[in-house]
Amino acid sequence: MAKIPEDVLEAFEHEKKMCMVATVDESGSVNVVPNVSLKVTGEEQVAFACCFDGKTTNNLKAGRTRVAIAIYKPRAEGFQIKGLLQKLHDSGELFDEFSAQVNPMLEAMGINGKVLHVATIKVREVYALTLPIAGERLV
Amino acid sequence: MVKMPKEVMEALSEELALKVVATINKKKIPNAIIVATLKALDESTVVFADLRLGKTRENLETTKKFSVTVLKPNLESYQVKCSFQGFQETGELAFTMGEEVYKKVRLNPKAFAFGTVEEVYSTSLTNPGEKLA
Repeated sequence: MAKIPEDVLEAFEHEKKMCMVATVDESGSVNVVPNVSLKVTGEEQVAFACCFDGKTTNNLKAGRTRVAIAIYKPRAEGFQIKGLLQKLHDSGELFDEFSAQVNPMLEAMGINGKVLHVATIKVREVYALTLPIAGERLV
Repeated sequence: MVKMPKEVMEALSEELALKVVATINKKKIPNAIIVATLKALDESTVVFADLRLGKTRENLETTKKFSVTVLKPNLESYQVKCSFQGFQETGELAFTMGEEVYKKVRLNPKAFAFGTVEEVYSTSLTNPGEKLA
């Protein structure tokens, strides 16, 4: 377990942040996709919405629970969170909160999708991703 | 041979696009890093600099594959799955690309990682998961 550092929290709060989530399939192929819904939901927890029944959702559903998340704060700050899936939420307070935020955004963009699950991730390790300290473990 | 579509090549060459390289280790634990130096060498080959690769280098040498996802500021996004070909530390290509990287970040790359394109997917919100090549 690892408490998310202050500068990583700031990156999550940044209006123009970009995030990607990496998971692994049964053949050992890594899948990495953008996710616009990622946010901090606890001192040691982040969460994101799964809006399509794609590879990320299927990898998590299949019990391959290791996740790597890259967060980029323009113009030159990046972090990696390594964590473990805690739960895929299909209902409840967190699910409703994400649905209320993400569904209207998708609708406004003309995207045929809605929040199907919310994945909560327990943070285990945090690394810097940008030079000159890329790769340095922060927690 | 799998070829990247034109729009993917354009996305990879876009200065403001975020490019993330993901690898796995022997235990299938994913690792995802930001790689600003990544570019398409041609329609079937991508290359990026080893400026400070730690786990990624180790993973590439062990598991021999990686995925790169590019995300443009307008949220257009693609994932390119690659097989790792190897590192080049010397030679004309390494020298030329080394000069390009130095101009950008004032650091000399240790080597360049080469990958052959195996599959290409859309990771845009409009058609996520659609196989493009």
